[in-house]
Amino acid sequence: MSGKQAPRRATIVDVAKLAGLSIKTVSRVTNNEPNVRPAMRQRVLDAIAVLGYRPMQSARGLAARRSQLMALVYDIPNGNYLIRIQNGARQCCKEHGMQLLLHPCDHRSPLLAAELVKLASHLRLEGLVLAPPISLDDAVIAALENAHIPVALLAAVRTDRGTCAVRMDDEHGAKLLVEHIIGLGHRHIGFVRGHPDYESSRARLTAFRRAMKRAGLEVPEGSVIDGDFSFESGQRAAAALLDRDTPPTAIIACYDNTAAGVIAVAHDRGMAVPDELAVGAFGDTPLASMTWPPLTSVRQPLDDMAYAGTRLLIAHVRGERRVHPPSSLEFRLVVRESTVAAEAGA
Amino acid sequence: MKRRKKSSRRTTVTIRHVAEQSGVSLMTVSRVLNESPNVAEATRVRVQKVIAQLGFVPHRAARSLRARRSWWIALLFQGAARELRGDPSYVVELQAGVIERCVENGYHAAVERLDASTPIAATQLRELVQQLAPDGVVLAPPLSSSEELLALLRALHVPFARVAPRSTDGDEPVVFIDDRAASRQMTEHLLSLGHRRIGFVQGPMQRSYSVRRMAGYRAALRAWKVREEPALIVPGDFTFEGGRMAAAQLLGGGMPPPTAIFASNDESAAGCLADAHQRGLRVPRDLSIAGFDDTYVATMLYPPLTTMSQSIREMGRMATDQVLQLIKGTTPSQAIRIEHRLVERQSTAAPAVAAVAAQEKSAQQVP
Repeated sequence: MSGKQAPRRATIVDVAKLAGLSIKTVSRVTNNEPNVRPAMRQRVLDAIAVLGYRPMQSARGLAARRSQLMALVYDIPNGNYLIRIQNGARQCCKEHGMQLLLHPCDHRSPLLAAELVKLASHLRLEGLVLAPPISLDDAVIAALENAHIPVALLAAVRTDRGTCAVRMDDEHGAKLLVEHIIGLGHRHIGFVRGHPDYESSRARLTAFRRAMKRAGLEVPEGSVIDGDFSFESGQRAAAALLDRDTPPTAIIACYDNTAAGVIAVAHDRGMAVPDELAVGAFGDTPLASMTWPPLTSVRQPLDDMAYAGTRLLIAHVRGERRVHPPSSLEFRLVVRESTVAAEAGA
Repeated sequence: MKRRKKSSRRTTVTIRHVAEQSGVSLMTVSRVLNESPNVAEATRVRVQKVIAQLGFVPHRAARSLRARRSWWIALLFQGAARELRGDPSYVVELQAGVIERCVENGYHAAVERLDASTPIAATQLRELVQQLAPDGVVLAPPLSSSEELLALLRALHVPFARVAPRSTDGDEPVVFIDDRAASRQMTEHLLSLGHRRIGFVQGPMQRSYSVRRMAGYRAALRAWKVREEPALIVPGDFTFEGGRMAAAQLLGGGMPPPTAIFASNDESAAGCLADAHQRGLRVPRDLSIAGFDDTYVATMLYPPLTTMSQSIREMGRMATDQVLQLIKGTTPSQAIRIEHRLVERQSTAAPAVAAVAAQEKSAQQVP
C-alpha cells in the first residue's frame, strides 16, 4: 500500500546498507524492540544520524499494523487535575513504547462520539484513554465500542469485564476527611458540593451524609450548598453557611480552590481558622499548601489511576495476558493547619 | 483547513468508494483496515481486493505519504518523566496555547518531559524524533536554552521554536517577554505607592529570566534614586517554601524590615504572604507583597495578589504558529515579544504612616 518512495529522502534500505545490517535489524532498533546488541544498535543509530533518516509514523503503522499512538481525551478545566492525569498516562505510555497525544474536547458536544471515532481512525490510534466526565458518558463509550476502538475509562463507574476501567474509591477518600473533622469534635458541619457533572461530587456527598449519620449527627436543610469546584462558589457557599442561625464550626469543600474561597470569607469576617472555623478540602493541589492557614486536604490517586487505566489498555490492545487492575488506589488525608492549629511554639 | 480540502478532492479514493465497490458498510471497511476481529473471512478478502484495486490509502497515512508529515507537534518541558509538582500552571497554560493552534491547523500535540540536566536528554530527544517523527518541536524554558538539544534538532532537520530562552538571537524563531522591563514596572509601582525599602526575592539565578527580573528591580531603584541595599535582596528558588524562608530573612533578620516585598514569581510571593500571616502582619496595611506571572493561585490567596501578568498561553500560540510556518516552508517572524501587564489586586498599597516614619528613622541611621 505504501508503494511509492519519496525521492531524495533516506529510506530504511539506505540505513541498512550504510550500517551493513539487515532491514529487520534497523526496524527493530527504530521500533525500540529488545534483542538488539548495543553495538549493532549504535551502528544503526549512527547511520540514521548520518542520513537524517526519519521513519514515518504512518509508514511504520502500515508495516507493523500498529501506530504506537494513543490519545488522552479530556475536558478538564482544572490544570492540576489535568497535569496529574497526563503524567500518569504519559509515564505508562513511555514505559511501554507508546506515544500519548493530547485531545482536549467539549464533553457536552453532541458530536463528541463521531469526533472521537474520526480521531482514532485518522491517526490510527491504538486506543483512547478517557478522563472523567467523558469516561462516564455511556453513549460515547458505546459508540467507540461499536467502532472497535479500545478505550480505557478513568474514574469509571462501570467496571464490567472487557472494559479497561479503573475506579477510584472517592467515597473512601471522603470518609477519611469527614471522620477526621467529626473526630475533632465538630457537630455542625457545612458541605460545599462539587461540580454536578462529576461522579466524585456525588460520592463525596454520600460519604459525608453516611459518616454524619454514623456519628449520630444531623445534616440540616441548608447545610449542603451547591458548588462547582471554583473559588467563587466557595465564597458564595461560605457566606450562605455562616449567615445561618446556627452557623457551622467546620466547612468541607469539594475542592481546594473552593476551600480557598471559604478561607477568604473567614478572613474577611475576621474569623480565625481553624479556631472559629475549620476548613477541609479535596485535591491536595499546590494551592493547599499556599493558603493561610494551609489546607487539610485529601489527595486523590490521580496519577496512579491514569497509569493503571493506560496499562490495562496497552495490555488489551497488545493481547497480553490479563493485567489485573490495582486492587486499591490509595487516598491520603494530608492534615494541615486549616483543621488542626499548629502547636504553640512549634 | 485549506490543506484538508485539497486532500479530499473528488479524484481521491476514499473509504466511501471502497465501501460502495465492495458492497459493505463504512464500518466494515474500517474494521478490515484496523484488522479488527468480527469480520467474516470472505468479506475481509473482498474488501482487501477492492482496496488494492482502487489503490486506496487510509487517510492519515495518505496525508503523511503525500506531504511527508506526521501531523503532530511535540511540546518539550524540563523535568523528569513523572514530575508531580513543579509549576503546573505554566505547563497547563503553555500547552493550552500550543494545542489550540494545533487543533486549528489540523495538527495534534503531545507533551513530553526531558531533563536537560541529565546526560541522556539528547539521546531521549533523538529517539523521540527518529521514532515518532514529530513535524516540529516547541521548547519551553530552560530547554529552549540548551545548545545541545538545539544543535541536535538542527542536525535532524526538525523545525522548532523556542519559548523564553536565555538569548533571543539566532536564526530560529523565539517567543519571549521583556522580563527586565516588566520587573522594573512592578518595582516602580511599589515606589510610586511610597515604598522605599523594598525587599526582592530572587528566582534561581541560573535561569536567565531570574537574572533579568533582578536587573529590572535594580534599574527601577536607580531611576528613582533609591539606594540599593544588598541585605534587601534575598535568594529564592521560585517555590513556596523558598519564598517563606526569604520573607523570614527579610522580616525576622533583625534589620529594619522592608515595607514591601517583590517576589520573582507568584509561588514565592505566596510564601512571603504565609510568613507575614504567621507574624501577624496585615497585608497590605503592614506589608505590601507583589508577585510575578499571574498564575492561577494569585486570585485565590488572601489577600489576592498584585502581580505581573504575562500571557503564557499566547506564547504557546505564537511559538506553534512559528513552527507551523516553518513546516509549510514559509519564514516566520524570528522574534515575537509578548506583552506584559501589571495586575493590581489587594496585596499592595501605600505604606502605613507608622511604617514610613520607622523607615525614615532607619534611613537616617544608615549613613
